[in-house]
Amino acid sequence: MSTHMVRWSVNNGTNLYTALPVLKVMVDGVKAEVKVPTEVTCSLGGRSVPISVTASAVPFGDIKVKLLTSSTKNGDKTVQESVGITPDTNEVVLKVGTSEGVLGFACNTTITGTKLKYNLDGSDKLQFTIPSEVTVKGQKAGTRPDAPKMTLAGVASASTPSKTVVEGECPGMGASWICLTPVSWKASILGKATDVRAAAAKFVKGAEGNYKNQQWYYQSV
Amino acid sequence: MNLGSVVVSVGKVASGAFGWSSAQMFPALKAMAPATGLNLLEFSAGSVKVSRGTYAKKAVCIKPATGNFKGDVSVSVKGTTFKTSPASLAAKMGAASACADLGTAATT
Repeated sequence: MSTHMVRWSVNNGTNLYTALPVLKVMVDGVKAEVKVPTEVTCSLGGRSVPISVTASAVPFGDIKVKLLTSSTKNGDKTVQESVGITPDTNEVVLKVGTSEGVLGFACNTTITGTKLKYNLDGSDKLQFTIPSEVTVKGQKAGTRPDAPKMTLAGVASASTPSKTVVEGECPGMGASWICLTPVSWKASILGKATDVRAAAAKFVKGAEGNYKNQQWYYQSV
Repeated sequence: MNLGSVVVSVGKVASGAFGWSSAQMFPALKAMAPATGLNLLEFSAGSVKVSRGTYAKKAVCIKPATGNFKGDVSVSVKGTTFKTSPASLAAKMGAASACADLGTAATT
């Protein structure tokens, strides 16, 4: 641990307030944690459930997380551990202003592999820990319902005048988006998943003036 | 800090006035009042802890020594070793305090 005396400038209000004292800052090497699942189900011949990536602390610069295929060495022989599993090529970059992201992968109709690796990169990668791998479980896709029942309702007991709590139920695994809009705005219903993703991506959680916008919530299921 | 050096802080923190010195070569520093018309501005805590390569959530807070802010105030950290998020701590008149995350690089 190192100790630093940090100095500050008063930029506005010098006519009313004194300067600030130096602030004693103790810097340690405690590592933060990248939060990812260690077991993920995928639909055979389809996709994995969305893999949510978050961290226990905001990186000073950035950290980058992506999925890679896994293999081990057994003597001179390389054993592939991701046969039938194809990770997406995108990477999640966590930094100031971006606190979460989503990874995923595709599964063949038959998979013999059981693992993928998490790869951690970025300027602060040494200050974060991440599980080394994710175990993949294939699941036969169910019959796609034509008109799945989806429930969404306010929870009066948990709501206050300034906060509305809603709970919903999804028909199966995948991703869930919830959007709240005042009735008077007469917002159009989005019929395509791509439109929903795009609209949700524009919503920055915690941004100033968010009360003027549609409220979006995303959760992998 | 070298023997014979002194660092004086103008200001005050919640646990009292702070200065850092090697006092062997100096007489005691007397308590001083702020200039006429100025009010004391202080940190909520005299020391904070940060882990390398990360921001510590709401680690730094400023507040008036008494009451709420009498006018708009904004402060920022000097140098590049440490950064706050947002870049400055800004309080509106009437606010009780203003806080920000404090971070430092993995190499600090």
